[in-house]
Amino acid sequence: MQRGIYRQDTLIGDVLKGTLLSYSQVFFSNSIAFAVLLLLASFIYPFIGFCGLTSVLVTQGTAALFHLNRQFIKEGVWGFNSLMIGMALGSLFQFSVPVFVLLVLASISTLVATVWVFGILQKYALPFFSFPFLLVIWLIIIAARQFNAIAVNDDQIYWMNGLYQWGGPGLLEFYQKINSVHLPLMLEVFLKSLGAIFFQNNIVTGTLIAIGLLVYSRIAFSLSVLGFTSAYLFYVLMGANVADLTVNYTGSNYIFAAIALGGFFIIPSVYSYLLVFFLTPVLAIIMLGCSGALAVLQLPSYSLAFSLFCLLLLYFLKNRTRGTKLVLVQWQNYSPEVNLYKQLVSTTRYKNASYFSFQLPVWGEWMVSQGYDGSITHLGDWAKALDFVILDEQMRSYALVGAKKEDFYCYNKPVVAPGAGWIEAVVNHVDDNEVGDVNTEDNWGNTLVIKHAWGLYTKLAHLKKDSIQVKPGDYINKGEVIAHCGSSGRSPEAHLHFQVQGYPVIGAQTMPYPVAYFIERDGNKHRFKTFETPKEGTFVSNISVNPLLSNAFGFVPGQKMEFEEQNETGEKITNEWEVFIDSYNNSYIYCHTSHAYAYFINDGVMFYFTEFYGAKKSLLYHFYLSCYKVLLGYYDIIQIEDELPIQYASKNILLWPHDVIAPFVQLVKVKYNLQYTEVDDIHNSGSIKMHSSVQTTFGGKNIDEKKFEITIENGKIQQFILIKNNIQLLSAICR
Amino acid sequence: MEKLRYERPAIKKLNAGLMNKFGTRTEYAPCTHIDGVAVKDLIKEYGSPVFVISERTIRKTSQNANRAFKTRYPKVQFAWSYKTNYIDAVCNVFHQEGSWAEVVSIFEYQKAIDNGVPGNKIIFNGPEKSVADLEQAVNNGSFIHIDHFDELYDLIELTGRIKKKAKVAIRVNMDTGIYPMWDRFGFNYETGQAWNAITKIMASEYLELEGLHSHIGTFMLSTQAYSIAASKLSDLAVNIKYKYNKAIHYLDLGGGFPSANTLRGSYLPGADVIPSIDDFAEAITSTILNYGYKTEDLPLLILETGRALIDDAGYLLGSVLANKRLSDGRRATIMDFGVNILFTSFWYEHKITPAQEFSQHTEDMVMYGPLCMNIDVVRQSVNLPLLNKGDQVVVHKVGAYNMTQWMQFIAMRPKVILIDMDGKPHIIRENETVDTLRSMERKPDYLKKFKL
Repeated sequence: MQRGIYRQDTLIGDVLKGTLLSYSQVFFSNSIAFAVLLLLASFIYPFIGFCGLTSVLVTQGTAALFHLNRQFIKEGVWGFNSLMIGMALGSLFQFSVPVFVLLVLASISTLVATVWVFGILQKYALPFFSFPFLLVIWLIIIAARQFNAIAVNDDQIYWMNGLYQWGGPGLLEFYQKINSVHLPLMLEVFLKSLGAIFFQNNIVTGTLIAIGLLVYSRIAFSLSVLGFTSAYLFYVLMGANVADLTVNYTGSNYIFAAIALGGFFIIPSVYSYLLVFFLTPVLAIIMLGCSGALAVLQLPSYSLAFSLFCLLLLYFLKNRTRGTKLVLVQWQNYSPEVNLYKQLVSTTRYKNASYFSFQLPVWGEWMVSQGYDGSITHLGDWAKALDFVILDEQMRSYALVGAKKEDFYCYNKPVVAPGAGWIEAVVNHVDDNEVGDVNTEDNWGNTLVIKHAWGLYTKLAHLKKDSIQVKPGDYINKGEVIAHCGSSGRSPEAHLHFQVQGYPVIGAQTMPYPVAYFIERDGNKHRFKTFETPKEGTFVSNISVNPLLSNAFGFVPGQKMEFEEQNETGEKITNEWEVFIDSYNNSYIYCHTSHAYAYFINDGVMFYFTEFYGAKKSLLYHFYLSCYKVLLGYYDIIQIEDELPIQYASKNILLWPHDVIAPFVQLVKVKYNLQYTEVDDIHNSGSIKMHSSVQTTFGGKNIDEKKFEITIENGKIQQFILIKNNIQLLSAICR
Repeated sequence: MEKLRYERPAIKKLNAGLMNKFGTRTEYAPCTHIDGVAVKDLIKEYGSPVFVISERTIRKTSQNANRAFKTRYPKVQFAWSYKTNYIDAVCNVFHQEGSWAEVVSIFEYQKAIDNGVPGNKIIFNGPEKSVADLEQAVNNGSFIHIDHFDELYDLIELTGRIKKKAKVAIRVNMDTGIYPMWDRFGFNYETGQAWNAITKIMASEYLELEGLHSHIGTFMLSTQAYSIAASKLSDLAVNIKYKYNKAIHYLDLGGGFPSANTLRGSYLPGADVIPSIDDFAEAITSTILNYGYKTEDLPLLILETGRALIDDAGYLLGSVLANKRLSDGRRATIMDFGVNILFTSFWYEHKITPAQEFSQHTEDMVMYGPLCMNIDVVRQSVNLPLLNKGDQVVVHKVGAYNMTQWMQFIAMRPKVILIDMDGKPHIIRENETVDTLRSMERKPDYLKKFKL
């Protein structure tokens, strides 16, 4: 979903779109198709449908008039409770002018209640479910007892009269035919429960909703079946009347709870399915309890049990300090499938987004002579530290015989700031040891502590005497030379000690923390590492950022690009792209031609796309695929690899059956690979070529592969082409 | 058991120096193998004399130099100095190690292109560049290091005519406290000539000033001189940034680092007096780093090191032709190689080692080459074991300049062998034969016949 985008559509368009989406919002969806189907289903009882629609329109209009959150208007967030109010009133009362007045007032009240409940619950980052609806409907039911002008609707009871009146004997016959189809009891109850969500206790509405649900999400559908089955079995076990499930929202509670907990607010997984199956009986108890309590006031409990149950459970889960099971959805995609597929990718992709980005504190290639939990000195509270030295081809750290400290390759080499920050502490007076000597008195020797953020410090130790060129309070940039490697303190041979710590004092205990990006060499093999801790015995070096790549991918808000696209038929389309930034400080490229959005992050070393919204035929989509992850340094010795969410799998594969099993096992994978192939001059690049591919695999077997060739020239992305099965399908040239 | 070697009798002056527990020991061991290949097998297979180059040593030296600079400075590029040794195989080992090419003539330029070096990774130095040469270099996008104003004017005219940008740098000469001052190359710093040239380049439409180049001398024994050079080049670079707001893309400190050879007249062995490549790296990089560039504006550092990277990797294998007693009583040994192929013996006291076992007895001798020329002296005075006719010797550290400055004079040039990383020898240059001469010579008809 496009959130907080600065570009705005017309108000009336947003209001109407939100009106429609209020229907799918009831089912946690933002699918327009599903909304249309639900709208139609609501009109199976035309009066109920009419009341629902009127109510939503009144609410949306009021929300627009009072300038409520525009995005919520557009998404139908304000409207779905009113939809339920409207349909509930339609099912309770017969049409009359007073009822219409009541309907309008109820809708506005629901909006007010929605804003209020939203305000309370958003502080806990919890959804407001259908509490606004419940508050208003109960008040109206109680109040309506005093309104003599309002007649109770008995259409639902004398349904066939109405049908006859409305559609003649033909319709009645048709209806009877459908109803006479003998369905297994469980299925019939299931469909009626679905129908009851729209206050329509019949199989036709239920079937329509069921189809809509299936089209919207296979996971949601399978969850609704699971939750319902669990409840059904519990009723049978407890000897309760299963027919009660169809009355007044009872069955719907189980269906809603199953979708909400199984896949919408929690990432679908084996655990979420088990949760749904085993906690549904608890929901049944809550529901019977609520109904009993409300019976005193002669009020139906509607969806109270579901709302309460989900709210409590989510609040409970949110208060876990850690947990890899039952992961809560952080960013709502309004689809259990998308929630799942994005989560699968983002656990590996964005796990590092919150880390401060450190580089190695040296230039050139160094070896990690002692890693975390090293056996020599990285012990106890000081275990998470790294020691670096320089080795030659014979794996020696010194020239000649290594008799003098100056013979050691790393001695007196520049030490650079691992990250920007303020100098916190400096020790600069300790003499360097001769080879083999240790100074346990001044254990750390000459030392620098840099403050990068509150509670995040780095320490560089055993530096050369008088080599520290900064003083406490100085601000230093990442990569600036700040000292030279030495052999002071507890250091029998020259080496550099590097650690991350939570406190500013020199003797502070270490804290495990990764280095953002580096190249690891193992023999002749080079590997690109992101947010990992260099391992003992490996050769590591920093990424050197290429100015051409950094320029070409350094999209700044307001930047405009024009790409001339030529597809396989030779047709030429001019695509106009513009870079925007939204209110959450996320950058994206918007295509004025195809109205697609591609969100990206550029952290100076890495450029990567995070989200794409729009048509999969658009040029921007292909650009999104081709440059899904780009290292801004030219390295032909490594490959950049990543995974795309499964919804970007090739169309050659039918994802629906896969969706059903996806919470448990994923057979489909979409793999991304990027390789740099050509550069004219590595130091002062004017032209760079790279190849990327997006591969769909099923059970490890390659099904489809899109290849891209990207040319960067004249300081920009000059051209990219799409090749599939050796045929050039698409080319785009920047103008 | 092998038959005991015959050793000719020798008379040696009693040395009345201080006694020590080792006696009068010969300080070095025979050199019987190079990278695991027996010297006698090499001579048997490829003849005597023969040049041998160790690929392993080239790579090791090159990696060592790279490490020395790259752990001190973020942007470093070596360019292989073709004139030092332009045998294709040797050049390509350097190119495989990541070196660009530095050439000083169009013939070397051609060689670099033939070796597959992309045009934009060739640095074209030297005072001799014809307009045609320049045009080729401009078209290939090579870096042209301008040596004098006449060349600068040629380039301005040429680029204006062909309407193409040329990537140029100027060579700057300067006083770095070294004698002799190499002021015959490039534009002088102290007199303002360099700034004059820079101004002209900045004013020209088609010349793109990419870098600044200096090459302060050869076999430099002082690191301080490089510090001064780096500082003076940085001064120009910073002033260009200040005046024209143009960041200079590279500083080329040229070559001149010494190898571990001993210069003639030097009291101590070369290895004991020359600064290491680390010392030079420290002097150059610390000067640039402390000059006050912004981290992102730090120029690329180019080095055209030749001698220091290849000398150690080259060996000359030869055999004794004869022994002689000179009129003054000194012993003389005549080798089958002389100054014709070992040009560097004019200024080095080459280390020469026998290739077979020998006893503890040594004799002071003059080592002559095979030429009928009085100047053909390999070593004026060398203390070697008693060598017989046919004995083999190894001359060390001959990789630089010999295989480019050698002469075809009286004798033909021998084969050059490269021992690869697996210890397998390859011929990388065939020996010359009479046919080599025949193929080049032309006789006018009237000189084809004569009667004696």
